Amino acid sequence: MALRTPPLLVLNYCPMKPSTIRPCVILLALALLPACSGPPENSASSNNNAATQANSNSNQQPQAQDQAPSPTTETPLKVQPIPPPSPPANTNANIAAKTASGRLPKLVAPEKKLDFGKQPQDKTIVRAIHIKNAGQAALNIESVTPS
Amino acid sequence: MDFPKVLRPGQAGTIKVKVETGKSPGERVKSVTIKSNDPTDPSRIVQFVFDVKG
Repeated sequence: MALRTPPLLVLNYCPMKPSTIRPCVILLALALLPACSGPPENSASSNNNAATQANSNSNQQPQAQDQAPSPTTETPLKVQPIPPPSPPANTNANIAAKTASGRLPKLVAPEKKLDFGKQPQDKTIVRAIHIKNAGQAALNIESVTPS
Repeated sequence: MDFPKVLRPGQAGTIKVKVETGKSPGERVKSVTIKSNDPTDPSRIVQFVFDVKG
């Protein structure tokens, strides 16, 4: 009988009754709920313990590493095609343009040697070389030079 | 040299060539170079030959 009384006495000396503990627990849970649901940076900054700050700092470094590749995900780089260089203004470009249009001039001239026959000495002779434009564009003759 | 500057498609023309025969007899080979906007043959050479009598 003497051994059973001390636990009963301890229960009797409990300063808080279950009816008073329940509201306190609920209030404590309500007070801690916003702190737990907030971002980890806020909880770390609000904590003044040095050990927890060190832990929070160690936790922030991986976050920074995780945030480093974030710019690639935010705005993807757009590859803009390089415009082709403008063609030089030479005869090759003109030929290419005319080829694209499909209309080309074509000079038809004698391919074999023209035989003017026997001619007298010390005299100026005038002969005609017949040419024709067999193409579909105007033929511009730039020059005719003896060689 | 007398030649047409422009030939329309299908048009024909003549190039007048003046040649000095010279004093020495024998065969002569001359040529003229026609430069045009023909893309396949922009510089065409036409040769001609004549024989100077002695």
